[in-house]
Amino acid sequence: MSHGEPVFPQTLSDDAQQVIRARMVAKGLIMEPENEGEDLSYLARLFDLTCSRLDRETSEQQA
Amino acid sequence: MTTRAEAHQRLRADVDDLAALISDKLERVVPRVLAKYGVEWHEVEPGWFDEVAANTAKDLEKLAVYQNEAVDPHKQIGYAAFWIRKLKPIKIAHTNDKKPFACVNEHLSLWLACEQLVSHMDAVVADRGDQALKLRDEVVSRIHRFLKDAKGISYIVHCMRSRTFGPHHYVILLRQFTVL
Repeated sequence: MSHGEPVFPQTLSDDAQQVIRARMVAKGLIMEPENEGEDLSYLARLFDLTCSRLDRETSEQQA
Repeated sequence: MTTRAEAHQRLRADVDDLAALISDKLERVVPRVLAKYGVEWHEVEPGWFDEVAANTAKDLEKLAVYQNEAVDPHKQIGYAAFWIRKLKPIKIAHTNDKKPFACVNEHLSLWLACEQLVSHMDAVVADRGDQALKLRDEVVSRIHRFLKDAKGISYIVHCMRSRTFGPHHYVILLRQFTVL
């Protein structure tokens, strides 16, 4: 191997990535499988839900 | 199937909109959260919610590119909490008995994250029956126990101020409540 040649390939095939990911999940190094999640607008929705719930709690306390 | 480059380009275009949306929501939710936890009066650093929102949106966009545009809700909540802790948008705060509230931003980051996690559980279990509701109640009771543990909270706030406390620390903390 000549000097400067990468030891590991710069990019891994999808299959190789899946194998590595499965090992990491099995060892608990990552917490959720890829593609499980919500789109980014979900955070804004959580803010709205939180506002509504806190308003409801406040009105219940005052009632 | 979209490539990462395409996803990155599209998400980057959405980042400013997402930041503006988050900033607007922070302005609405923060006073409510502070009031719930006994902060009677507070003053916000002008423009700091914009800064928190911009950094949160940028971080989430980076994650989304590598996760097919789907990001775990714990991470979404954790990153927003981290930037509150980091940038400290609340300039000054007083408790209900007029005493200054120490480390209000660190506490706010925890309170907001916990409140959002409760909202997430409400959203997840909606219309899924009694068993799902029981799981939600278990998670909420864990969160309440955590928030009532003054010694534990004090230690976490100490870690936030004196040690490294990144977005993933928030995520790990939140995951402890929801792993059943």
